[in-house]
Amino acid sequence: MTHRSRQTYDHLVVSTRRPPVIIDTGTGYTKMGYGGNIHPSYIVPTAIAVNPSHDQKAAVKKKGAEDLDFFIGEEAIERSKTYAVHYPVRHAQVENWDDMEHFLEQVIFKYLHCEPEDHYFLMTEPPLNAPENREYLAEIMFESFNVPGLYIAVQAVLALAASFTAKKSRKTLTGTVVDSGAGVTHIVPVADGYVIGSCIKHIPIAGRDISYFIQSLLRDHETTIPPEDSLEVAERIKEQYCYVSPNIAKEFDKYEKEPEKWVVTYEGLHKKTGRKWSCEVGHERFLGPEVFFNPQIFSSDYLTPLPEIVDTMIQNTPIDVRRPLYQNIVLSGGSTLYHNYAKRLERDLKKFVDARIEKTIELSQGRLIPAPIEVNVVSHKLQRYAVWFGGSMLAHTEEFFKVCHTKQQYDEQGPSIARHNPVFGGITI
Amino acid sequence: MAYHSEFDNEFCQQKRIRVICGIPILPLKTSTKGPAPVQTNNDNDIVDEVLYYFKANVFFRQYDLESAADRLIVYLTLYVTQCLKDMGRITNREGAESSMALLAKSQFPLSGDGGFPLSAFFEKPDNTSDAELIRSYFIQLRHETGIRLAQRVYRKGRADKWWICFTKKKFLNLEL
Repeated sequence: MTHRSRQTYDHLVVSTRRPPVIIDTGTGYTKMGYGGNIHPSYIVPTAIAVNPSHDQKAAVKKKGAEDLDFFIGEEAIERSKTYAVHYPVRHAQVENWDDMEHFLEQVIFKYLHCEPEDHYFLMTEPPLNAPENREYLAEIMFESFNVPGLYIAVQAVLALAASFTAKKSRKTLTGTVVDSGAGVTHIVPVADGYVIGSCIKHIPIAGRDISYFIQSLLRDHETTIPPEDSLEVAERIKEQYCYVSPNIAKEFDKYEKEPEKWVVTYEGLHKKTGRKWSCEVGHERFLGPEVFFNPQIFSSDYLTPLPEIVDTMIQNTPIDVRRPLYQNIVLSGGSTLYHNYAKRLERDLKKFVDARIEKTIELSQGRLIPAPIEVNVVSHKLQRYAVWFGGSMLAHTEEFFKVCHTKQQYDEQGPSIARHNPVFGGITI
Repeated sequence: MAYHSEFDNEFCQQKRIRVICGIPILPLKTSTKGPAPVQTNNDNDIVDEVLYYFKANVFFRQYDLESAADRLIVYLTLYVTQCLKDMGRITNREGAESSMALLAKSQFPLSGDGGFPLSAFFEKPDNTSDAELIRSYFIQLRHETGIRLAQRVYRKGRADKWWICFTKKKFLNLEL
């Protein structure tokens, strides 16, 4: 450490020596670990199982240890028979802060095994999160856990930073982030690290919808799947076998002509009886992810394909950032992992872009020939937990400690220090 | 995007295909009697096209007509669903083929009749001779579709579950 930086961090003595803790709470999974690492230490379902009998009695008589009787992550899901399982995050937003506090308690003490007093924390929030949510989070982190410093980062910006690892990456903080997890898909334009809040788009289609769709398709031709496990089976099939096809009619033809090559067999164990069963998986493999590109095959109230949304979103942004936004479209989240997802998105987007350029040429009768627009969809190896990895990178820089809210600030001003997120620059709330 | 017919209006003009009330009388690879000209080469005809696109198209709830031949795609896609419903109960190919022949000739409504679910897509025939011609053309199409569908569904002897599973799907949320 140079002399100058030691001076800057004098007041941080202990905290700077320990790596910051990065926690990314998604609708489906929570990614947690320490800054500077490449992989998160744990990825667990964002679920909490509480003992239902305590809920009613709590008010009447408290013996003392009831509030410790809960489980999170896989343990919570395993106990779904005897405990009430809650999912504190819905559509990327925290819905129940009591559950969230309990959840974080075990994340910190049971999984990460750390003393929160000794580490800075980096937490993530979805784009367009309510300022109140940031305040609640600050309250929990500073008061319940007594952390020395907290930074609340916007998921999209972290995802953009994570894409620097890709070969194709232009290593700028300007780009379009397509972040698709379990609950919701966000399309977020970022210019020089600032989110263009007015242009953010949400699509109510994400991983969980794909699972439902696959579940319903399986139900039509397979009778061996135990009904109580069918959603979980659909999820496994989605993760193991799904891919994006360029043309679904051709794909159906392939499956009909050479079923032995394309249809796969899934084997499972019946949860209650322990008996083995198996089923065949066919067109589910490519129809699942097709929901992004043709939502009407699944949903009757949401019909616009993802590439079209990305295109109109970019057309709504200020004119001088449109080209860079097309050039750097970054994927993040578990539901963008399908094979050929990036290729298909790029191809479909190009169609819109090229059509628009042709129209310009036609309308100007050949007098205006715009420079072709480059469309680039960047896919990389750390896409699955891109947000977490971006956070890990950010927390590894020196600037991180400067931009954190500190315990001292919190004690002086209260939760309102977290109200404003500078990434949305300009907007003062 | 749902899939459209390759026999678009340009094709119909080039090949001088008769179009009656917005319905092109396209050539068919068929031995059944009817008004359609016989196609001698082995290229795909409209029935092949419908069966090729059926599994993909049946998922869609919206369909924009891009050419006159798309009307046939819409009608025959719905008809295939109707056939599959029958086939779900039949175990062998012979049974299916005879049942398809019956179904093709059974009473069915067409544009201008009451109870026709696709009146939004079709024009009403102007006179009875047109109406009769269209009816016999549709019988021919239905027959040919049924036979070729049976060939595909019962290729391995019994009904293929990868076809039967589409019985419950409703193209455009409609049923014939």
